[in-house]
Amino acid sequence: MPLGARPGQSPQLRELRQSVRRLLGLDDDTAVVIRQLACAEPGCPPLETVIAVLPMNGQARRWALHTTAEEITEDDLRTALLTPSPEGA
Amino acid sequence: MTTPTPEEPRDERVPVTVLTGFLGSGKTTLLNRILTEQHGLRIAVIENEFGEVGVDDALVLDSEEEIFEMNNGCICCTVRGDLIRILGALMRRREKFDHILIETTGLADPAPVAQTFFMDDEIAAQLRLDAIVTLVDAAHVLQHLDEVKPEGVENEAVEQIAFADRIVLNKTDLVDESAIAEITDRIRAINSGVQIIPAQHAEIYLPQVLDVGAFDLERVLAEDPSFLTETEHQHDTTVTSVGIDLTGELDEERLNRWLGTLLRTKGVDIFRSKGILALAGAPHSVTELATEVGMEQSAVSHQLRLLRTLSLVTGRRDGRNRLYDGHAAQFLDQAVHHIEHLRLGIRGTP
Repeated sequence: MPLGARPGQSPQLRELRQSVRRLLGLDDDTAVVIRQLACAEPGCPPLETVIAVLPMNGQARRWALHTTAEEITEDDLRTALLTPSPEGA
Repeated sequence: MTTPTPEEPRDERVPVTVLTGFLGSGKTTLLNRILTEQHGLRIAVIENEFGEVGVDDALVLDSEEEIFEMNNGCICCTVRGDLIRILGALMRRREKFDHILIETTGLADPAPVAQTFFMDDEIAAQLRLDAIVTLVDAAHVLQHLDEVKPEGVENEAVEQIAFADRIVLNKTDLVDESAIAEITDRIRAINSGVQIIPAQHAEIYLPQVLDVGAFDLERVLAEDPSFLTETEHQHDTTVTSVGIDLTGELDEERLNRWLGTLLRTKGVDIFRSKGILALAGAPHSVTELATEVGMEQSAVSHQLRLLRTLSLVTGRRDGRNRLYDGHAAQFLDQAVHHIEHLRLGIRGTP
């Protein structure tokens, strides 16, 4: 949520979350958290989108895409998620 | 334009109480009270440790503390993975309960628990962190606070007090009045605004800790009107608080940069921050407008309803709040000016 935003579901994030579920074939018990965060690393764009997938049983996984959630295309998402070695928890 | 309604809509999100406190402070006793007392609430409990909760029909789930970093090494972005999983599953059984209570282990860091409710828009849209309730053992708290930890290791007792919205000062029967006064001073030095509830055997009036809306600014102000203006604080040698009070509006981008730098350089030293920000161009809530024009909230609400009816301002509803453009404050100022002049028999414009 950007600063000053009130709780409410963003349609973009909801769509992104659905795409993550579809691409990874996740069940309903698996939580998907998507958050735009300010990146502190030098050379990084100011906002990155962090996607976390937390299955009820099993290892949590996390991906960071160095762009805003709005700019992520289905192709970007597919490439990132299906890369063999995601960043672990 | 939004149609005026006599009452603001209710916040339908499920309230969540986080129960924390040092080992042996009486969390399980309080939890048992909450679960057995006839308050009419159906409470789902998420437990971090094996308590001796023997309550029929209560929805009790166990979880193992799992700290999850949302990005690399950023202290401000840690959430509780176990809670995210369980809360997601619970929300699919939304109709079975009215309230969620999370009991954490005596050694749990409250920060990732609290951040879990603000980190994800899906969770924030369905759940509302109502209050962090910390139990304190009057007989042992000073010893825990004074315990010197090795470099880099947090003192959990200090953190749990720093994060609390309500402190139940339990086991007061085991200490004398001077000790209670000293403990109260020490608690206030760490967390000056916190409400302290003295208790024996965790016996308290439950509405003091359940559904108190401690994270809801309007309710905080109703209880403590000086919350926004009070900047006098006592100082502890280890934990202090800083208040920043500015007039005017903030540039969101510059504020974000400043906060980013602050968190990057001082993140590990900051327990908690609270604030009301007037962002340039951002909508204002009734509370903010009331502060801006120096009127009572009820009077501001009334005036805004009239202005809405006249199509002079528009407000959009967001949960229980209604948000207005910045120029609503200007209108209110003008309205107050006119009223004062009319009362004095003067006609004119501001």
